[in-house]
This record gives sequence, C-alpha cells and structure tokens, in this order.
Amino acid sequence: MKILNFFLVYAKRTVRDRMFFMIMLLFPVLLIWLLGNAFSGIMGDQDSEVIAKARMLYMVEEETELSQSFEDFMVNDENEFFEFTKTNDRDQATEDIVRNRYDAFVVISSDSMEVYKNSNYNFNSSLGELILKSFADDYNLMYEIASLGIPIQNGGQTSMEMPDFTEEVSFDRERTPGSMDYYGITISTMFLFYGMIFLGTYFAENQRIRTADRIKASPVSMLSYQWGTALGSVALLAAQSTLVVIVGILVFNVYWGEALHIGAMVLFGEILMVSLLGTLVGLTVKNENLIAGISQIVIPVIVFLGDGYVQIGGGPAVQTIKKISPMYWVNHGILDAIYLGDYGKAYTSLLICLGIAVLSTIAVLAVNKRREVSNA
Amino acid sequence: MIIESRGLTKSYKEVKALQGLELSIQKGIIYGLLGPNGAGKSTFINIVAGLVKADGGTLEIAGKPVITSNKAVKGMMGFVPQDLAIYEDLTAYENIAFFASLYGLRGSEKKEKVEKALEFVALADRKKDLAKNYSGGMKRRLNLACGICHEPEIIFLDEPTVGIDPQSRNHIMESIKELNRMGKTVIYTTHYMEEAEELCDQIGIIDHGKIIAEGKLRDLQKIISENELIYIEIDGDASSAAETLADIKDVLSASAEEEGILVTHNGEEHVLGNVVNKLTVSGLEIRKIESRMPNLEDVFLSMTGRTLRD
Repeated sequence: MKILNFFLVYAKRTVRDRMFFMIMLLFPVLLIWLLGNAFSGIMGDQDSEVIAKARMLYMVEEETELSQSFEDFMVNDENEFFEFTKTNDRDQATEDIVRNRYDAFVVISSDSMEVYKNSNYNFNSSLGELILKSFADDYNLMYEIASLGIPIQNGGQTSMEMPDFTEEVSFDRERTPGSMDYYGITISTMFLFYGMIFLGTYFAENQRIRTADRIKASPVSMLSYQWGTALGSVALLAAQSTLVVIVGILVFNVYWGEALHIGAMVLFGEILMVSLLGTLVGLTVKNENLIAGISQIVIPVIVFLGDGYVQIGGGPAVQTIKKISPMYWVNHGILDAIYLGDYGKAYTSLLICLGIAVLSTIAVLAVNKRREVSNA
Repeated sequence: MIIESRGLTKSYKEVKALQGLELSIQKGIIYGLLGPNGAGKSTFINIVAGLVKADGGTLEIAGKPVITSNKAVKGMMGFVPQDLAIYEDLTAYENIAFFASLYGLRGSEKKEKVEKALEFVALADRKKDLAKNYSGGMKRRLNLACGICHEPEIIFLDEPTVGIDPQSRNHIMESIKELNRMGKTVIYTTHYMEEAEELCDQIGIIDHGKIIAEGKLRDLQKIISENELIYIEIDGDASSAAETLADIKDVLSASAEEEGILVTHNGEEHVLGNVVNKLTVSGLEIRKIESRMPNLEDVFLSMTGRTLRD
C-alpha cells in the first residue's frame, strides 16, 4: 500500500506542474495540427486537392448548336476538372490570361472553337485543351452521323452520355496515411519520450532537496519508492497518450483503422520503457539539469531518426542507422499495423520496449544493491 | 540508554568523518551535539537515520543494533534534516500526510496526527496553502512537522534553525522544549552554542569525528572553571594585542573577541597586573576589564584552540 503513496504524490505533483501540461498535452495537439496542415498534399492525403481545377474563360460569338452543346456538356455539367466563367469581352479575357487570372480562354464561333492557353499554368491549360479536343471530336462525330440521316437512338444520346464501361484502377489502392494521420500517430509516440525527463528529474530533485533521505530514513523500502513513482509515471503517461489519441481522432480525424488496440498495446509498451528507463536515469545521474540537458539532445535525435519530423530517405546506411531509434520501431510498428494490416513490427516493437523495461529494472536493482554494499 | 555508540567510524575517501565516536544518550533528554562544520555531527545523524552505514563500531537504539535491524528501529525515530526536505508544490497538509503515511499511518489516525502536527508548528490556519508560498521560517516549521507527525520516541534535529528569522527560531526552540516535555528524546545538532545552552540537558562536543567533552553544561564549564576568564575592551587592534598577551607567563590563551581580548589564565594573582602592564606599554588604551563565566564557546576554544564557527 505504501507504493500507492508514492504513486499519488508523483501524480499530484506532476499534474500541478504547468510544464507537464504544456509539453505533454498542449504541444502535441498543436504539433499535430501544425505539421498535419503544413505537410498536407505531400503525404498522400486522399481528401486534399492535389490538382486544382482549371479556371476557364469562354466567349460565345454566335449562338449555334455547337455553343449550345458546349454549354450543356461542358459548362453546366458539374465536373472536377474545370471551373468556367462566361465573358463577352475578348480584350479583357486576353488580359486575364496574360495576368494569370485564368488558365485558358475558349472562343466558340459558329463552327469552330479556339483555345488560348496560359503558358504559366501549362498543366492545367493543357488538360483543358485535351478535354476540349475530346469534346470537339465527339461533337464532330455526332454532327456527321446526324448529317448522313442515321437516326440516333434514345433521343439523340451522345457518347458523352454513354454508359461508362471503364473502371479506374489505382496501383496504390490501399489507404496511405495522410499528413494528419501520420503526425497524429507520430506525435502520440514522440511525446512519450519526454515523460522520461519528468520522471528522471523527479528522482534527481528528491535527492537534491533531501526528501529522498527522509524516505530512506522511514521504514519504507527504496524499491517501494522507486516502483510507486514509476507506476505514477505509467499512469500519467497512459492518460496523456489516451487524451492525445482521442483529440487526434475527434478533432483531426486521425485514422487508426482496425488497429487501435494494437496501437494502444505498442504505446503502453513504450510507456513502460520510458518510465523504467526514466527511473534508472534519475537514480544514477542525480542532476536535474544534466538529465534535462542530455534528454534535450538525445530525444530530438531519436525523433529525427524515427521519422518523427519528416520521413528520412537516404541509402541503406541511413536506413540502418534509423533502426537504432526506438521511435522508429514504435512508429512503424503502429503505421504498418494500421495501413498494411501487418502486426509483425508492432509485436517486435512491443517486445523491444518490454525488453528495455526489464533491463532497466535489473539495472535499478543493481544500483540499489551496489549502494547498500558501498554504504556497508 | 536509548542511544549508545561505541567506536563508530566512517570515512569518505580520504576524509575521516567519524573516528571512534563514543556516545551515550539517556531516554527523555535533549542532547546537544555541538561542533563546528565538518566535525562529524551530520555524519552521525545520517548513520543513526540509516542514510549511510558506518565503517566500524556499534550503534544501538533502544537496545537494538541499528546496523543489522534498521527497519525495526526506524519507526521509532523522527528525522528532521538540515535542508528543507519538503515538496513545495504540495500543501502543508499534503506534505505532512505523505510523510506520515510512510510510517504506516492511515485513515482517521493519520488525519488526527497530521492536524496535531500542524497545530504544533502553528501552521493549522495555512494548511491548505502550497509550501512554496510560505516564508523561510514557515517552511522550517513544516520541515519539523514532517519529521514528528508520526509521534516518534526519538527525534533527530540537524541544525533546524539555520538561516531563519528570530520569531521562527524561537518557535522552533519552544517546540523542541515542548516535545521534550512530552517525553521525547531529542538529539539536536548545532553550531550555535546559545541554543545548546538554552535547550540541552546534556551536551556532547564533537570535533574531528570524536566526542572531546560530554556532560551537562555545568560539568563542561567546570572543565575550564579552574581557569579564569578576563575580558578586556581596548582601543586598538585586538588581534595583535592578543598575540602579545599570549606570551605572558600563566596566560593559557588570549584571543581577539569583538572589540577586546578574552584572556584565559590559571588564576594566579599577578596575571592581571602583567596583562594590564603589557597593554599599557604597547600604547593601548584600556576601556573596560571584566571577569567572565565560561560558556560553551569558551569550553570549545579552550579544548580545541578554535572557535565553533571556524
């Protein structure tokens, strides 16, 4: 039961620490929002408009069947490629094209169409030209059929209204993480590493202000103190990561798919790892500033190598170095589980985290033993 | 004896903190462990509290050997370290309740004892305030309350009045007397001789890790009472005058003190005349001459040749 006292005091003191709220709750949420938006469109976001609609101006010089068909099938038909604006001022339209206000200008006369392109927006204007050419070919075909007196079935149905027998197949059909998804997951794993600083400095502070001496002078074992405090860290980090994940899902639509339970399991493994490693660091380093200083260097490196900020490319050497980062195992374990349905890396990551937690525990026991012997 | 140490030794690398410390403390007294910084006071307290282990010797508390059965005796001891060992981001109540719980107190018993400790150190009306909002003196009182909340039989106070205002100092002094009236044994380390004189039933003077004198204040005064003390206030450099007087026959020691010189001599009648004569010859004007009873500072000076604050 004495473990519970240490658990509660750690939890109470840490929750009252404004820095904890700032670093562990506010920052992660802000970073998900910031990085998620900043990298949207680059990371395979399915909802983002990768190609903007081509902005088209058109002018009808003479009302004919051609102009009627154009307006029916191109202008009035909702499509994802064009945004048409009608004009009657040729000079102004030319000026708009020159000044990049529009991508192309279409002039429809009695029997022809002219297209003026903006060379600065070559992709959009070429796309517009291509589709207009296709429209013109269809129109010419229908016109020729009608002029030969061949009846067109179904009240003049054109190829533009023919049933679509083609199916678009994507080579990248599986869902890939969008920037919000990626950073929602990455930030959740990243900030847990900072939990190690809070725990490590807590133990070091107890030694500095001699509350650790007071605990040692009481009939409580030092292990109760260490386990109780580490458990407090586990509980707080579990609550913190749960909150960040929930905010990510509800506010930023972060996709965890069918693998939320696997994600939770890997995150819990990471929490155990950082809590026991933090205990070891706090008991051995003893200097709060040194712990904070080392962590401020080591954690960003771990995060960088673990693709925490951006995904790092590079050759085989870089890819091998990346694998030393705990963030890499954890992050890719969760991402592969969600997006590839491959749980292998997640289980491996969990085992590594638990392994480090066990090694840290053994080291803490050894430190306790050594101190007893050196005092004897 | 509630505490008995025999031949206690402790070294930190080359530094011999304790060199065969012999100490016997009776139950129910205030025992003052007096000595300058680095004399071995805190090392002794740390060994008794189980924070460090002695290199050699024996230590018994209430008849139980501390080295082999620390946990058995820890419950009967209260430890008030020299530093403010409190959590500043917890309230006074939460601090005391936490340390009380380490001694197995729970529920209503814990609540009652925490309230009692708060009353005892006069912090009951500020119990819900975070400790970081307290003055230095209030923090000292809270530090004391955290060490006594479980109502231990023996209380160790390691320099509890260092760096506090006179009001809080008086409060702590009164608290210690009250604890003693309640039957507690108090072991009190200090380098303030006035505090030791005021509080302690028995005093041990420690230097270089050894008890060099032990007893009641009167016993200690007797160590040098066969000698006489003269305080001479002069108009001039007291340090050089003290050096001059130290050469006079039958003068045991002469040291500069405030605006004058404190001379210890063996009581021979001619000494005073010789001292006055020498000062006059040196061209120093004598303002005042007085005979003085030895205090603990004098005892320490006489036995070590150094002052407590050296």
